[in-house]
Amino acid sequence: MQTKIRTKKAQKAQLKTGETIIVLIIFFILLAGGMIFYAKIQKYTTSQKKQETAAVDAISIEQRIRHMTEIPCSIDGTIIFDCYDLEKIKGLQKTIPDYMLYYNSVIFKNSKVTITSVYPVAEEILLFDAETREISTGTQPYRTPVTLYDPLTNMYSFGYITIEVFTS
Amino acid sequence: MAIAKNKNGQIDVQFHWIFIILIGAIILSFFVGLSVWYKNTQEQKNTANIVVALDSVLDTAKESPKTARTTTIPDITLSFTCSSDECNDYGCASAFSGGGISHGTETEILFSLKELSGNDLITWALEWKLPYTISNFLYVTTDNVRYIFVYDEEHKELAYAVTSLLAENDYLTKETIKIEEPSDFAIIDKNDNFVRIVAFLDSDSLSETTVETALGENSANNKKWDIIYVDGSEESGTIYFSEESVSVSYAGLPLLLGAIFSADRDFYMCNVKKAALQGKVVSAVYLERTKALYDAVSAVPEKSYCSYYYGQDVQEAITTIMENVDILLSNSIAFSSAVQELMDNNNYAVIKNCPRVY
Repeated sequence: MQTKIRTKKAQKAQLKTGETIIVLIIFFILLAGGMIFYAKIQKYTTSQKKQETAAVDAISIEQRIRHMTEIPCSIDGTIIFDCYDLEKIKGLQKTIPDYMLYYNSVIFKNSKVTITSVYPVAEEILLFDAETREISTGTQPYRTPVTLYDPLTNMYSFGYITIEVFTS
Repeated sequence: MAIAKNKNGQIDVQFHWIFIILIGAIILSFFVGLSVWYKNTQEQKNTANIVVALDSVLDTAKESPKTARTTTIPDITLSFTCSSDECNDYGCASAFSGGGISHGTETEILFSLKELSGNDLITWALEWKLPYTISNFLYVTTDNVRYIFVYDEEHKELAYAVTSLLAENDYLTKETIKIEEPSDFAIIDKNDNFVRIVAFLDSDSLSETTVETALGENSANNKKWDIIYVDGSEESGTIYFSEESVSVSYAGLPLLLGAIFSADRDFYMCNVKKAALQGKVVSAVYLERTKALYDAVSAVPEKSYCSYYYGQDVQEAITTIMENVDILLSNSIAFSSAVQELMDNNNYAVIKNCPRVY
């Protein structure tokens, strides 16, 4: 009888250790599950952030274009903001290939920039095209209105700048 | 046999507790490690946010010429670097950093000391024109840096020009002292982080001993003061960095102010090179524009008289500026005539109702 009781006690003690181990295993399974879930959420958040970053990039490029000294209208060297000289834009078009590294790395980066005159003269000028569409997908174009000045006719027109940032 | 079994039971209970303690320690260290990692990541993120915000502040400041701004900064030391030996086709190796996070400024013309700390970051910008606007120079300092302008009767014109321009910036900690003789110069310690003495005097005429006695000795790790000597006019002149015993030239007040705000000769020359690169690019655009205007007005009989203002002389003047802007400090005379040519033709074009040259 006594032997039976002692055997039973010994069996009970082994069971308790087993319980602890099982609890720990379940705990680590839950922890791993939580980390996998967190990783998946991060992946989704990262792809969302990528799109947001592309939009922010477009705004940054627009800001850089706005603050360029090459193309804005000027009166005796004094810059007029939000106005672009058409002849300077055309001059910049011809100059960009000579300074491609600078404009590609610093100003326009991975984007396509088009300047469109709407009224009273309709004209479109492709200022820069990164030409990486084969390996990337374009984002929603970002447009901002501008005033365009033609020094030859001394006339102002309404237009907009379109910036498309390419992401891979 | 019963005793042996009892002994087994006792050992099993102890092992059980040891096992619990071990596992508990592992779990605890895991979570402690996770929280330490998260804390470090968040600190880096905050520092990165500070650097990004500062970049935005500097961009905004640069686009507002002749507007002094002050920005409250957190308690970190900002470092600025610019190496004139590492320049390529579009910029020079330069950056600013804070808390281990850095941001490149390869094409931004930014004059500053190498390290800045203080409560308020002071930014100021000036346009650089040749005569069309090439770029805006950005000058960065803090309220903990004191600028002392010392001049005598012989150099007062240039001193007046500089101090009048700087008077537009109320945030700068500055003093202007007129002396009869260099030996009259005296200075009081006001517990500044750094004191720059800008002497419109003959080189090495001020007594460094006087300054050292008042402000303390400079060491390799802790530079408390330095002196630069300026000689020339508003258009051109030389700046002598007494600590390095080297001279550099300037052409125009924006560049002179750049030297006043720069950490040393190398920092100044690095930004001059960046400005020169920008000058080439902008001049190339103006050259194309001038050629296009010349061709366009020449083709219209009623406007053909305007072609004179975009002709060979003007195009050559722009080409001179474009090709020589990187040596403008050593060739300011050729520059002056090219700049004057453009200014004259621009004025005549306006009078004759022709499109402006710039």
